[in-house]
Amino acid sequence: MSKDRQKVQIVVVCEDNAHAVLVRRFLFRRGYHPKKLRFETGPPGRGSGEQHVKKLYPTELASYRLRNPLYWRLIVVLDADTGTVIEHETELAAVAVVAGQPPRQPTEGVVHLIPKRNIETWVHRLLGNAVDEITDYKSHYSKLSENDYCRPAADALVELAEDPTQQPDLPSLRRGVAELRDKMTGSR
Amino acid sequence: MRITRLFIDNYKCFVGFDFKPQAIQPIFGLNGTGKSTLFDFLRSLQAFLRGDGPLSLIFSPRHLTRWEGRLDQTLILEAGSSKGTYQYELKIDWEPNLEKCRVRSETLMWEGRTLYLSTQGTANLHRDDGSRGPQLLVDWTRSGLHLINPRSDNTLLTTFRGWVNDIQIVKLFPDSTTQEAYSSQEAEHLAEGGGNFVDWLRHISQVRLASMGDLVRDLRDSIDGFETLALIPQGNFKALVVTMRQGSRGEPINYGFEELSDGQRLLVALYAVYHGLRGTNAVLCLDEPANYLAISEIQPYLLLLRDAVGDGLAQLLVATHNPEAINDLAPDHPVLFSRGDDGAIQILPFPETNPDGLSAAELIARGWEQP
Repeated sequence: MSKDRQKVQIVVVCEDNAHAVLVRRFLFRRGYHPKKLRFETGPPGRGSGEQHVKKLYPTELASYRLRNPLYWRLIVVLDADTGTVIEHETELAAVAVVAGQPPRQPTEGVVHLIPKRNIETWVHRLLGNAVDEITDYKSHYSKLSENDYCRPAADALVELAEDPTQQPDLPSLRRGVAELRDKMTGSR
Repeated sequence: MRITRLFIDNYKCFVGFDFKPQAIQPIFGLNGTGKSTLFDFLRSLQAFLRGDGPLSLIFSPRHLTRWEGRLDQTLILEAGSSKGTYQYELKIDWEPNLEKCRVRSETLMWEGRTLYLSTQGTANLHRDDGSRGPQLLVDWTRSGLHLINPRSDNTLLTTFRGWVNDIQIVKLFPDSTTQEAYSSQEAEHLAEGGGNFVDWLRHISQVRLASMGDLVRDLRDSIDGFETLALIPQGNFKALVVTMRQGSRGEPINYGFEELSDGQRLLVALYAVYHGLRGTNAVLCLDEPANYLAISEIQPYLLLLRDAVGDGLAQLLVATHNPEAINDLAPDHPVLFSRGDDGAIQILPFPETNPDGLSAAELIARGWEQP
């Protein structure tokens, strides 16, 4: 048996548990074994998730570039909140440049998932509801565990990502699904 | 169905302790803050409800909170599912010389109505439809619940009893798992420490055959050279034999389970727990699952377990001191067990604030987990 079977290939940097559960279920459903995955989820405590992602991003980007193809994919999940997706893309590029790393290149296996307004917006849409990117849908899920609402949403996301005929109507979700279709196929 | 509330009063370090665990409930805390004691309590309650022995042996005088000096204990277990909620309450009275104790009352309720009420040696039963059932004379020193035979009109009561019995409390020690390396019989439940692991695995291999293939697959991804495992008949026993290959071209070699390293044995046992329970909708309580494991093994195992909650497992309670496990479990809304000024255990959210974004393990290592 090759020891490569035991090496992490996909690193997920995300703000909180809802992000982690959604991506975890998505990757499990797509057949990735947990030994291949490494989750770097934000520490507990209000307000520290975005800080965590932006702090870790340049280091992980550099690590991806040094270790690719072993380090096969870097997946970053960040809520846009009241900002725009483009603003967060620009910020990620900026923190990379400040750390001496060129911004993400289109050919690189770096996936940015930036839900707007936040992950609950994607969940609400993936569960079949009409949504907009301004309203905060967190209160719909505040009494449920992340497993309860993110797992079924992840199952729907898998089906969406695997069916190129479907185009999500929510702009940030459409962008995220395009990244998944483009970068989460192929060997693993 | 999962545990929704535990109220424990006058039991070791728990005084008026009121805990409402989530479906995934990490439990952190310093040494001596009641994490393992909570699981000990559940184990004692299981034994009592199974009728394993008299009250004074299962809940001994040592279980009374020493500094309280009171002779009464109250223990409540609430369990809920989408169908409804059970409340089980046990009140115990001790004699002043602490030589004897007896059940003051034992009550099981479903959605607020009584299914079973025992006081002063008399138990009143109620059927599933709420109508009054038979009256029984019961031993004051034992649970009367285990005496009830399953019938079509008492399924609520017997379901609860079976559910409590199926709560799996796992605290594994490598040496314990090979205490009995040869199985003489099947065991339905894994004993504390994993002392009957081979017997239990033998049971799982019979009742959940498909899970064994999944177990082997996961172990191939976790243990270098692991090929397969099998229970091989040896006289009147069955021996757990693990086949390993040294290098990609090496010949397969059989090893007795007891010949594996401490960490390898624990990996086998932990993945067996996962695959053995997955799909049973049991409650799993894990005490220090990360001990002896390589750091690269901890997150993958915890990812699998957490993903199974609500999808094959009803609930997961994990107590740990391991920094990797603490950091990995920290986003799952942990609670912090802590000693209050009176010595009793209190439950705190973890952390209340974390403005500088320190990792959970770092907060605990620095003693900054409490404001």
